[in-house]
Amino acid sequence: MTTRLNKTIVACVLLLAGVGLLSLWAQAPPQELSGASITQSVFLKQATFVAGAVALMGLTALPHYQHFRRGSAFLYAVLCVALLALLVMGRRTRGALGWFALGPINVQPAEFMKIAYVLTLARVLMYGRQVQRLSGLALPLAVTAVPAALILLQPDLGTTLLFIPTLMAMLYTAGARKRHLAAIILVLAIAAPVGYLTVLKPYQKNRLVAFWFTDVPNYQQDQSVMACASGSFLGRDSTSSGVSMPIYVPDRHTDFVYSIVAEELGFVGSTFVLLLFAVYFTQSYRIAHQSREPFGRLIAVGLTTLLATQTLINLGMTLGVAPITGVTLPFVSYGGSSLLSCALAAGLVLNVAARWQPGFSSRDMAGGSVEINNFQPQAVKWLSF
Amino acid sequence: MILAALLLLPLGGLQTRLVQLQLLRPGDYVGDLATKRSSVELARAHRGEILDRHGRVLAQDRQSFDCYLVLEEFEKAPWPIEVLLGLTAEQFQDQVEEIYQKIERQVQQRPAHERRRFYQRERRSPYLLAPDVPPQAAFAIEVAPQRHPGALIRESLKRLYPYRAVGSHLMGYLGRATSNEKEFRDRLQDGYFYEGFPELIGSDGIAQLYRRGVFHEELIGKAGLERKYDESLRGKTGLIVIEREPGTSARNVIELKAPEPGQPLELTLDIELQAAVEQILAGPLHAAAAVVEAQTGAALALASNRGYDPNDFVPPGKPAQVRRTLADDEGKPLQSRAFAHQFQLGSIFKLVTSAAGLEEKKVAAGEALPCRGKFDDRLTRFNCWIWNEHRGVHGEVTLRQALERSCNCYYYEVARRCGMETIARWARVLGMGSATGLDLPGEVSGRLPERARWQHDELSLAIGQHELMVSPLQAAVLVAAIANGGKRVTPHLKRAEAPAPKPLGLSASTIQEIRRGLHDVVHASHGTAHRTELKNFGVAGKTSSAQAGPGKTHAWFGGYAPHDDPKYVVVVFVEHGGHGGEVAAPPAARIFERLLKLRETSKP
Repeated sequence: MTTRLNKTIVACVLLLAGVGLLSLWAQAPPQELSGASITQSVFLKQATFVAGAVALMGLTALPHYQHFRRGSAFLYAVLCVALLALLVMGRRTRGALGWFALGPINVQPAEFMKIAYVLTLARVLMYGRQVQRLSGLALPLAVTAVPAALILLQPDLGTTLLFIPTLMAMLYTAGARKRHLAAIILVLAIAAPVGYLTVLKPYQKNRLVAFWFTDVPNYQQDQSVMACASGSFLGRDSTSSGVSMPIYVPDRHTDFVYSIVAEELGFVGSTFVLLLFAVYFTQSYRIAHQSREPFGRLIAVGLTTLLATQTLINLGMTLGVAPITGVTLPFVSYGGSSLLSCALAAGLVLNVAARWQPGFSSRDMAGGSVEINNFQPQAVKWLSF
Repeated sequence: MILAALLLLPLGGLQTRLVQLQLLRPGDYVGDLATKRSSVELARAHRGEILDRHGRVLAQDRQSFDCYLVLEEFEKAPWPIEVLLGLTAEQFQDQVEEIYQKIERQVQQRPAHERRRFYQRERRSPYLLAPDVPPQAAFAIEVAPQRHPGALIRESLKRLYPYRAVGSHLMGYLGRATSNEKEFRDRLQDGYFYEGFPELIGSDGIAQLYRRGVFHEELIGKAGLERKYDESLRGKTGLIVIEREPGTSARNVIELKAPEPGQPLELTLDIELQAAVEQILAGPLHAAAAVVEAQTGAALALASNRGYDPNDFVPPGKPAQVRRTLADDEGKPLQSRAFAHQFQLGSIFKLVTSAAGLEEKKVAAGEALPCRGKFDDRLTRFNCWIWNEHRGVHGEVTLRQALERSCNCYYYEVARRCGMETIARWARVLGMGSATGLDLPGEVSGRLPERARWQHDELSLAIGQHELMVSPLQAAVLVAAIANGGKRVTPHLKRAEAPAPKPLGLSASTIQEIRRGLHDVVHASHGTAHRTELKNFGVAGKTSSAQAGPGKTHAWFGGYAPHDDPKYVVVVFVEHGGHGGEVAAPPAARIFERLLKLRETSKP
């Protein structure tokens, strides 16, 4: 492990984005409702976003991550305001509004809020001791509650759920006592049914009910499962005369993109994608483990848990083992905001990885002299990659 | 790290699920993918009924059968389907052409390599061919599908107006949402047709429905109450998935979202009264009448004797009849003369002038002003009608007598004392020049000249001529203000919908004096409506014979009953009818007769 670019992470990200593009190519999505044609084809649009995301990832990894610490609170506040504005504006239209339409581009503040949240929480938690006292948990909980509530009211249940494991993981890393964590989990468990009855909209309740009880129709998920199953080993041969209709899964290219992978690339392809995620997350956690600087460790843990939870929920939903909540699959799903925020997360993790400095622990000493000649100054030299 | 280990567990679980789905028993999940065709369809909601004040049904949905066509199956074995459905060959060709266009529209959106496959698929899907087919045809197709390849019957709902042309301007009718392009697009953007769908089938699901032309078949209210209250009447459309095996009529219906029926609309209208009024107005001349409750403004009848049958308009309807109705430029049957047209008002406006004169203290109730036939010897145009017709004079008249005899000279003098602006101001207060607020689209606001452009304009305005234009409904609001003691009502059709009547600041003595005059119009010996049956029904009111051009006079009567405890206001207008007292008052009498008879029969 060097202080340079973590090639594994970059490779995973590129491959996953590539799978996403492949799925767009294989099953082109329909055009917009208004009748106006999309300015470029959807494939090109996503390809542009991928290019932008890779660039963003690189840019994020460039300055030392401590710089992000200073801007984090400001970003957090700005995004809270944006979310609030969204809620107010959203009252006037009929459906769930999670984005601002800026011309041809939709911007989802919630996606970027996730990143700002992790940065801000890390900043709060990095100074150590108070987390071990119960009162010290108040600020982290407040920092979590505000954006979570704003997002929940959008309504966006899925993204809200991501906050919980991320909070838990970061608290654990910061050294909170286990019984406090257990207490928080207990409180949430009690709050969940209350939340179900009061906060959830009817269609969200329907989704949960449809998941648990088989006699309630669960059309979207059934279609997704059917699509995944039809992939068998190497992917469904849709040009053969046997099956002529493509399987219709709503939101196929955003939330349910994994069903395209499963259908087109079969067991081989879907396992490959799972492996890519597994590798990415284990690498990410390893980077966190190895980082000895508290802020870096916290953001690495937070961002990884965030994306990991998101991936697990999304895959579970697509495969029919979890109720439908609207979260995208990182790097693979079509969508600019999703892709860019994941790229930010990956970039920050790369950043932490790149600043790793060898420690002088007893274990290192035991194996011989420490490899000091790999020591790099602050800025990462890209060209030496 | 513990966290990493925690992560691998669920990942492992997901991997197992993949194995289960794709390797072990895919057949369990895939089902009959090869043979079944499924499509997402709309489940139309029952449209709310429109009911009159006694609960009689004025508009309702009835069950109908729509015929859908599967192009491929039909073209393999064509049969004379148009004969069975009662369509002409031309109509059938047009419909098939439209289906091809719908398919074409969707094909264009697909990337090139997918187009052919998509086209083939759509030719195997059902598309609407003919709505509301005769039941025998529907049964024939349902009972023996193998003899009618390519045809599918689906149950549907059709709007029915049991009272046909009675109150047609009020009910309105339904029409295709696409008949107005801009409105259709606006509604689409708003999500008007697909509330609650995005969560179920996503935005691309809605886009698919759009391209199949499903929203193009939507019917929305185009006129009248159907239009005004369309949103609450239509309810919320549901979503179903239909799985069918081609070649059979086996069908599996999965409900994704149940349709919500629309809200019923309860009206203040009395349809039997409306029918009676329309009957009373029948004749060669265009005529209209407005019957409202004096205290509340609730509309009991709004009749215009050139109308249409809304059943002809609801698709499929009777296109020839619709064309004839639309082409009738002379009768203009689509707009009610009761509120969608404005006319010269004439003498009924003297109520405004009276109110202005009394309230502004320019003339006293008992003050007698002279009528010498000609108002001013220097002016040739401003004479009293008694001079123009009989070369007579009224002599000295008070306000009460001026109303009774409809003396112009009295009001010329009042106008001279008040001035144009004052009179116009009172006119505006009493509702002239702005729409009354009736809950129907298309109401006119009339025309009120507020400033004098030429000399002596105030004289013309005082007797309700000049550029003043008023609709019969506005006249009713004016008469009601006198009848109910000085409050401006908002006429309304929907029960419990109107704002409270607004007090206008008229003093009780003014009201009383005007009422005395109106009473005399009907009951006293020189009253302009004296020789009618109105006096048998305790009516008080005012006639009007308004000049509308050389040789053309509009006949009006506006009154209320019972005169001592006013309940109802009736305004009758006959276009180019002549003298108000001779032409408009008798029908008004018959309407009052009907009203009071109804009142007696409905008493407990």
